[in-house]
Amino acid sequence: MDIPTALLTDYAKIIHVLFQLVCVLSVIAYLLSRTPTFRDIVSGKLTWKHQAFLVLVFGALSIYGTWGSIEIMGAPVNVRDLGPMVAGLLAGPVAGMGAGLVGALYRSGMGGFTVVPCCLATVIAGLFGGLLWLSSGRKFIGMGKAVLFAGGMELLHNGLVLVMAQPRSMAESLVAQICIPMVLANAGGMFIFAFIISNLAAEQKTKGERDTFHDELERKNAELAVARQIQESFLPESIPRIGGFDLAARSIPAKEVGGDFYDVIVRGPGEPFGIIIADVSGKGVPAALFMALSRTVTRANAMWHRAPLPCIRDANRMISADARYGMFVTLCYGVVDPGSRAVEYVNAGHNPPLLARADGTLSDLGTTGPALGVIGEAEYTDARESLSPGDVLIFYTDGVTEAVNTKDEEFGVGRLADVVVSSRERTARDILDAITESVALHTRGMPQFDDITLLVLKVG
Amino acid sequence: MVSAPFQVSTKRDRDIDIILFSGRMDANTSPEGENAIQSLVRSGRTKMVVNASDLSYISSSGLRVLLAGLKQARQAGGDLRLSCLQPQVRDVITMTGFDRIFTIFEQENQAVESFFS
Repeated sequence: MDIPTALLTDYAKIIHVLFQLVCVLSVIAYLLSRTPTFRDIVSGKLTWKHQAFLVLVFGALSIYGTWGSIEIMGAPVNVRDLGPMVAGLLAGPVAGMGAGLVGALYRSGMGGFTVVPCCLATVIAGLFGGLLWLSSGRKFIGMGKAVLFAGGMELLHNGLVLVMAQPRSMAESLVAQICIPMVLANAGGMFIFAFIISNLAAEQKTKGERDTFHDELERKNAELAVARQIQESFLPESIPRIGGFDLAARSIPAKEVGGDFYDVIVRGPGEPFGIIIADVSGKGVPAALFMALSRTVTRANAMWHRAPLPCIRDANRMISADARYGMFVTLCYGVVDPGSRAVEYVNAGHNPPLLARADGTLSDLGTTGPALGVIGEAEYTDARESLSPGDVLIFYTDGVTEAVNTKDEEFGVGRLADVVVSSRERTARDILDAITESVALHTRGMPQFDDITLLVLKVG
Repeated sequence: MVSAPFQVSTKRDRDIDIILFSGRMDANTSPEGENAIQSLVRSGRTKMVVNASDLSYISSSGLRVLLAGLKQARQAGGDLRLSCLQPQVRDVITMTGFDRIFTIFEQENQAVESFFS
């Protein structure tokens, strides 16, 4: 085939200039993609201001795509349609046609025999881009489709020139020359734009997900810290010394605190003193707040009433009145009389404390009524155990006995009883340490699910 | 963990809603159980039976969910009744005194029928 040298040179010139244009466009596209407005648009936020921004920017791009073009037989070969196409694909027909009209207006001032089809094609490019945006559910259609659209649009552009431009013979030879370069240049430009847009969209999606996750985590951690602080501030700072008795207590909160508490109520030397252990239902801030309420109410009633029974009855009435969302607290309150060497107690639905006698026999302080906050007018009874030197009383919460190991086996009352009996001759602090060490050994490799709270009283 | 995951399903017998709990109902899983009960209560369906035949463990968080459901159901003229309790669940319910406020049945159908007698 015999191709005239002049035509080959033209082709090379056309492709060279068009790709130069595309390079400039891609730099602009990159810079644009760093602006906050453009990010908003890509992430789907579309206001009138955003649309106006797109019309201006992509209208200007359309002008640049015309201005930087080269003239072949009086018709500029160009990437004028690219700006309106991108505006349409990004934000719909209004933005697309707006940018198209800006480009077309500029083109019309240049005249030439293809002025009508060229202006028309630029507006149509924006319109079609916008229609594609609508048809894909007000979203960018994706990279592959966008490139196909750009190529197809340039074929249409050339088709319009063929149909509308006069004289026909000039139109035909012009199209033969510029059709392929225009398709390639616009498709290439679109590829660069679409690539940047898709990247940006993906980046923003991950960032959004990461931010949501991060916020959620931060809120959760703040809540955990608040719950822990509430719980800590409502536990006694130190355990008072009581003549003739050895007392130790500890609460090890779980990551998500469960609202356990203990308390020691001292009246005066030689007077009966109270010991309390309690476990609030639920976890986190609600449990911590309910713990604060329960502890305050119980303590106030314990100061008022000498005996545990009226104290618990009144405390239950008050707590029930405030117990919403099914909140309740299991609690055991014992009053120890140093004179008569006995413990009088009410157990409101709490895990029965263990009583290990000096001789190694074991019993427990069983429940004598329902948990506080369950039934406002609940009937409670009290019970009494005599105490002798060497006897050990273990108040504990279910965080101790329900601590599970990797095989899902609970620590259980059996293991607790074994530790207590075997360590009963040591001090209260040592017995407490023996229990927590044994629980830690049992649950090795597992997170702590619940608060572990213990109060150990040894009769001296 | 070898224990079965916590699961909730519901079914209906005449106008009684039966809620089946299975697995471990603890602080982590209770919200799922709470959603099931709350969505019934919100739609005005307050005659409920809990079938706990496959519920192996319940913590205080789980009990709270049951108690909240019971209180709301009774306030609306309904009730939340328990059936088919396994030993651990029964022990916890007895220990905390919840057996004094909940009506408890051996079988699910006994609990359902109790609403009609």
